Amino acid sequence: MDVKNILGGLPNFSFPLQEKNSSEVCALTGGFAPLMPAVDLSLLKKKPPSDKKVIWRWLPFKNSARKDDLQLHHWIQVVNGVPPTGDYSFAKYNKSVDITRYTDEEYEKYLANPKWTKEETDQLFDLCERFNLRFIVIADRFPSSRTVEELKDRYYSVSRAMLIARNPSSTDVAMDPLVQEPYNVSQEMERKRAQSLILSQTKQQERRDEEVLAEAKRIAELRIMTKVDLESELDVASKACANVTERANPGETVSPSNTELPPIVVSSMTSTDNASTIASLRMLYVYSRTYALGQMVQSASSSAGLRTIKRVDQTLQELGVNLKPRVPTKTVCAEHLELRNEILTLLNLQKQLQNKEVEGSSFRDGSHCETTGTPKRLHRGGDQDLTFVPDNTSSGGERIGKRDQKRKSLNKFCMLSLGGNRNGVAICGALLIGIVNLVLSSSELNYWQF
Amino acid sequence: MSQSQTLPLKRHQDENPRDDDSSDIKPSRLKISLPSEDSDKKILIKRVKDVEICVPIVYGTIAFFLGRKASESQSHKWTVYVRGASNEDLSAVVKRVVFQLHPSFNNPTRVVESPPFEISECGWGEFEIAITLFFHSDACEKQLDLYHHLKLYPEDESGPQNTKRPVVIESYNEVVFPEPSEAFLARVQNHPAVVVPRLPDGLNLPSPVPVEPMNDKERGDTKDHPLNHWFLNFSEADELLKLAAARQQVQAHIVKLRRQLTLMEGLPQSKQPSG
Repeated sequence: MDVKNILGGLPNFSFPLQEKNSSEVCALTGGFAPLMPAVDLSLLKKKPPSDKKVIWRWLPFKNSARKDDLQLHHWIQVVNGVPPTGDYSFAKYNKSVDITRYTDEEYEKYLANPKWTKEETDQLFDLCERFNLRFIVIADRFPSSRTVEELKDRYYSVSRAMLIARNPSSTDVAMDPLVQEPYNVSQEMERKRAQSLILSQTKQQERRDEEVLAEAKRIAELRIMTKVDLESELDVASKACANVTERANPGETVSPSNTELPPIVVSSMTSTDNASTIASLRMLYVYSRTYALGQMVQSASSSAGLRTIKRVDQTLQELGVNLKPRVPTKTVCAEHLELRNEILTLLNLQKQLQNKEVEGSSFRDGSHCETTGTPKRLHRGGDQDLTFVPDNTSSGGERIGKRDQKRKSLNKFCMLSLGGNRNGVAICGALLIGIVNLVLSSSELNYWQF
Repeated sequence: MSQSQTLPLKRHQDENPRDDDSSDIKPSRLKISLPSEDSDKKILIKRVKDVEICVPIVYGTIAFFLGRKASESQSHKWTVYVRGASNEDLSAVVKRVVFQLHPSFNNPTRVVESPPFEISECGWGEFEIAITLFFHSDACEKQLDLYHHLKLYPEDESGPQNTKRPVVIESYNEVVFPEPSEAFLARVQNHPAVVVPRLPDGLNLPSPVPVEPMNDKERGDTKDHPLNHWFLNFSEADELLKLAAARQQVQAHIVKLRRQLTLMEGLPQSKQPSG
């Protein structure tokens, strides 16, 4: 109504109004009637007319579980005029245990026991029958004081003996749990004692136990993990070699023929160094030299990262050595491996040097090279390096040139700083000579791409 | 695959009558091992530890362009082979060789039972050939697989192919028997195709038993093979030289770096930013 006024009268929409004030509602929904639920909810609660007529009647009943003829009454449903048939529905729960009773002769033959009189055993069995093997109650009712375990022991051993005696050759009897799992008194007593201990633990004790268990679990897991790591490293090493097949490169193929063996054998080793690879190779009845070399290379570089392996390969190429020897004889392979190991050592040393340099650079920020006799010294250091560059690399010459330039510029820098910082000369000259030398050589090393 | 077991030496004294002075053979030198596939026979093989038999071989292909006789489907005639590295007879060690060719060939599985272990074929395509070596039973029950890529066309595609110059690709390898059986060692210890290291003193080998039918109708070596002038020479000397030179360089560099490191170690601690 107010909307209509505001809008100056709405255009010709005829809203099917079913509720009061629904013009606003209609306007909200865009001029159409709001959606109605498809099913009327009130109808859902109604039940379909059933064809059964049920009434409740107060009727008498008899219980077959009872030994007397007691008749009681109760309310019961009567459907279509027919009262319920059948036994009382709870009668089926009246179950009892079958207890085999012995005869006197059987007792004399098999069941005599010094700790038990016949009378006591009879009493026990009566009670067992009466109370359905509820030993707590039986123990309570037992005339002489006997523990539950003793009673159980006597009952089960008697039953077992009788079972075996009555069916000496039957195999079914052998399967009977009575025969297969005899009652163990001491075990039961121990178990109950332990149980009561646990149940009577205080909260503090519980917490402490939990901590100890968690610690033990952690240690065990750690041990398993390290063992699995070692094994998986070995597996990976041997499997990785098995997957190496540079078949596109003619003349340099590896033959991983016996690979079904190594993973099985190698996992029994406990270390990944050369000795274990050699041992695992020995387990193969035959292998090719290239395969053996591949395995050794794998195991040697198993601890190194992928980048290091690439750098080793690069170094080998720069030195003019085939990554895979063309004539892989025993000596050649041995030399090749040694060379690889030495290159690894070299790379490690370089890394160490770099790290040291990074450490030292934070010290050097404040003081630049302030020495007098440096230029000659630097030059000499450079000469030493010159011989190292492999002669056959054409780029070697260029590199040397660049190094010279670098040195020269650094020299100039030193001279300049000398002029500016005379008071700084107080710093030990020898120290600085050393540092500058190192700076230059290590930067030269960086330059020589390893 | 059954594992090797070490048994006390006394057990097999009766098999090999020994003198008293050879009783100083260390028990660890001999080992008993069960053959891998003889589960029903369970013959005990005596193996020699610390002695490794090495058989240097060369395997590869030689491919000739057929020139005028070439057709679409048969442009090259090639041979794939396995030979001793010094052209010696391999049949003392190798029982047979199986070459697995491309499936487009008729009967792609070619078995060669006697030397020379080679297959010649005509074709037009390059593919990978699987070469499987089977050894005599006293050497090894297991086979060894090698792979070789057949190359028909030369690296430099300069001009038409020459029918006289084949494309030769060979690979050198060594077949190693890490713990050879006594019988095998006895049989081949003086064979030219086999490299046997210096045997330890006191090792008493049984008298050699010649193995399955020796091929006496033809020589097994490839010294007079029709293609042998194309065979490449594999000398370890060059490789060793290069390796030695490289090692020297690396060692020198290592020494230098070590020196520098120790120098550096002495410095930064004592250095204090002063005035």
